[in-house]
Amino acid sequence: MMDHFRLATIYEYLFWDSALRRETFPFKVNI
Amino acid sequence: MHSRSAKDENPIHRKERLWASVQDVVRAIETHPFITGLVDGSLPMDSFKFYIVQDSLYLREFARAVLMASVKSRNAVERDTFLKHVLDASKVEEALHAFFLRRWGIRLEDQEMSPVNRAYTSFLLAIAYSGSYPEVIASILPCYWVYMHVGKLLIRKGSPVEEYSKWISTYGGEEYERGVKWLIQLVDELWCLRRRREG
Repeated sequence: MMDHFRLATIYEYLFWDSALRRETFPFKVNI
Repeated sequence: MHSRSAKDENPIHRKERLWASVQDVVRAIETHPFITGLVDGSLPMDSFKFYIVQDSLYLREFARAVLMASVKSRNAVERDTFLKHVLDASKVEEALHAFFLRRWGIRLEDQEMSPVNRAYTSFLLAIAYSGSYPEVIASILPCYWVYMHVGKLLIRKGSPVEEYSKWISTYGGEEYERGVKWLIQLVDELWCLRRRREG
């Protein structure tokens, strides 16, 4: 239960962080 | 062991422990350039636009998770309170985001979720559909709690940018805070019940 609480809190941080960098999916990949 | 049990009986200690368990992450949020940039105006407007779009997409899925909390609730009071949260959030977010998106000429239908947003909402919905009631409410709590915390912090400091100020004012209301505190209490109560059962 508390693992879920902590993971969701980490996602909250990542949400702000990815918004700052306007992070999108890397559609162009070199295979 | 005895002193730990005594602390378990005290709701203030239990709530503090819950918040303390994520204190490192909360500190990282408080000092993140996105948050400090809202206050001093240094946040690029393109990042704010990206955020509002992603938040709008997020809230659609988050509302489903809160609805599932309502479905899995233990009684009518909890069921109806979660339902009210969904409706309140829907009204506020619709007004706020419609304001921004209309102003910027952005159609939500043309936007895609970011990788983090996809991962976060997939996690929430997986727990919402397959997890137990305590797991569901524990996973949706950070969204409530972090926004209340950040909202208070930002309202105190304000912002020189009109758009940022308008957004900040959304999360500082007393009614919002009452809803968050209700959920904190509920998670705390179920967490303690679980700990007691597990011995």
